[in-house]
Amino acid sequence: MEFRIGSSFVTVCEFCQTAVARTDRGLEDHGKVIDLIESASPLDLYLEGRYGESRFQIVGRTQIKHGAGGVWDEWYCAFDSGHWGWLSEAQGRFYMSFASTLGQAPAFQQLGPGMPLPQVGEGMVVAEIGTAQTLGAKGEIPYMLESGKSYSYADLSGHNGAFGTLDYGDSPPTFYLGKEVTLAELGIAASAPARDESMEQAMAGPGLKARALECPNCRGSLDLVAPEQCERIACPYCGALSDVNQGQLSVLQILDKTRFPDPPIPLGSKGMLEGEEMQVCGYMVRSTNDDGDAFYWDEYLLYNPRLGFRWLVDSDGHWCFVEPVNLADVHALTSLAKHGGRTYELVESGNGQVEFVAGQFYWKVSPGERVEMREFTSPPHTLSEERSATELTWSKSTYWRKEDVEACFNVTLREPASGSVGLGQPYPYNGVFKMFALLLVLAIGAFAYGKTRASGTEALQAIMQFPAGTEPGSQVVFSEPFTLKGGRNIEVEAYSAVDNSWVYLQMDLVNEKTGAVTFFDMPIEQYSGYDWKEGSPRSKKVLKAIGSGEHTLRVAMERKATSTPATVKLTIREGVMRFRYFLILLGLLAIIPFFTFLHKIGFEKSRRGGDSYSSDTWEHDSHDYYDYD
Amino acid sequence: MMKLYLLFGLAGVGGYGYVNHSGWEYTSQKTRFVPKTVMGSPGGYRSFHYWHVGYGGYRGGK
Repeated sequence: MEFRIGSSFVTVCEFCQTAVARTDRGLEDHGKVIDLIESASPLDLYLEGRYGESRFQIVGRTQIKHGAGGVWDEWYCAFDSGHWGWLSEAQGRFYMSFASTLGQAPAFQQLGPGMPLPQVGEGMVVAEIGTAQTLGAKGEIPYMLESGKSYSYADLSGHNGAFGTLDYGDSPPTFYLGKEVTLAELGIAASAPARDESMEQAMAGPGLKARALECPNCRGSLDLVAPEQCERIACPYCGALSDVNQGQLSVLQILDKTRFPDPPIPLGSKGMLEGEEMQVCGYMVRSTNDDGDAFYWDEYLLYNPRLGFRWLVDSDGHWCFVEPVNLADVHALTSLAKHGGRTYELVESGNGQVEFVAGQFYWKVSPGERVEMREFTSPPHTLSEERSATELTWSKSTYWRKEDVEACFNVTLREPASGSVGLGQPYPYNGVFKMFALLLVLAIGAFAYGKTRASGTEALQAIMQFPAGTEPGSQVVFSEPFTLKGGRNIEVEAYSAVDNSWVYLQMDLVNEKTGAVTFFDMPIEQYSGYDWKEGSPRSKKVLKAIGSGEHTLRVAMERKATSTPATVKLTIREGVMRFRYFLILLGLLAIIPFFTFLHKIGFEKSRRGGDSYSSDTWEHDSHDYYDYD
Repeated sequence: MMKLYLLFGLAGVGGYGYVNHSGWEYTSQKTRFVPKTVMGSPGGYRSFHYWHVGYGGYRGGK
């Protein structure tokens, strides 16, 4: 027996599994510890790593049994500086924590999932409360190990991967504080021994040793994907749900396999998701109840030894890939939740219940298991909260097109239910709004360009006198020659002090050089009574551009026979801004976005409990519902 | 649909840009040319209007 680390309390004999503790009275025999359940962990004793600038070596390991089933590992890291680190490994995730001090720990009975603990650290909340039992151990342990001891604990989550544990096995509770880490950050990934099939076949201990087992009910072959993490197995052939206890399967109940069709993605299927090969190890049907209407959806449990577990969810033919998120990084309000800089809107809440399971699961799942659920969406992502009496979890899902899932698993899947909208399904025509924004920018640019050309230069201002009488020829006046630049529109403004009368101006704009004559007319009339008035003594007309050069304006007036002369004030401007064309353009550009917006309102309405949540979209007893190879 | 909208929008913006660049207007104005024989006579175009338009006969709105 050798204590390699000066500050360790217990060392476990590698030959007889006897725990030997050193005390001030000498060595004490603490009896034999339970054999370790071998797992596919990439960690092993005596691996060296680095945490920040500090170097450490893994010198000990214990296995802890979760109160709801399942086992996690704790690896003990001896740092060069003499202090210890706890490296916890659960479901492919790693957390490095250190013994810390806490002024006044709350009583265990006061804790609940989601409860904030600001005295522990900013943003720290209770993620899970439960009981655990120490199982086997190996190497050197930095505390007085008692194999088989049960204790209560609370796991805490904080911002940016912060992690904490309140261990109520001691009085006062021991507090550990750290953060989630990756093996690459610890510098272990490269040195960890590759795990091959032979190692997995050599697994020993009370866990499930083999990758293939027989169903205790029908003797069907059960191929295990993650045997060391298996807590429940539901036989895909006979529906027998078996509990895994000390490597033995015991049938709990026979599930009605005819109630739901076979999953379109068979158990054991492998596919590349997010750049990693993941294997389908479990399948479950869950339901929620909305005013008496049950809605069902499918969840596939996926496993990758490096990533751990993930989920693929099929809801009415809409698929999404689900990953866990640190609940402390989620800021949830009544109808909004924020995570990773995104704001999600609440779309659904209710209870979720497990209806059917097949395959293997890392917790003691059973039909009837219920959690409270809230779904927040910000397409293509959805944030899901699941709350039980002992645990609060948040997960983030990303919408996947059916075609992508088909390509991933080489299967043929059903089309999404007609008219249904997936929770995280992006609106397919959002591009119209982006295009509208782009076109708006271009239109404003064109408007600004027009503004630079619209100088409104005054080319002519003339007062024309028309003599009394109406004889043809006597009512014609010519302007002095004036110059137009050309290439710009021309605004002609005429004013005549008419009062309950009219004048009609027939105008010819003559290019002195080319002889081009542009004809147009401008009536001016104004009438009024005791309490009414209509018309105006002023009239405007905008002409399209004509050629440049010197011009003369010929104005012929028609009016009622009169004995008084008439005066017309004329102004000609070149290059005037025309807002009406800009408004017409905006109106035209907005037509399609407007109707798209109306369509989007209906789409979002369906997302929030419309067609996609009607129970008649699932044919419970139809085995033809899925169309797959 | 989105491509069609983009084409439609680009055509609209292009047309608007052309309007701003060229000074185009939607009007009822007409253009004709004074014959060279008339142009050769100093001030001859002054009677051209009556050859082509004549007396309008407008009598006002009332």
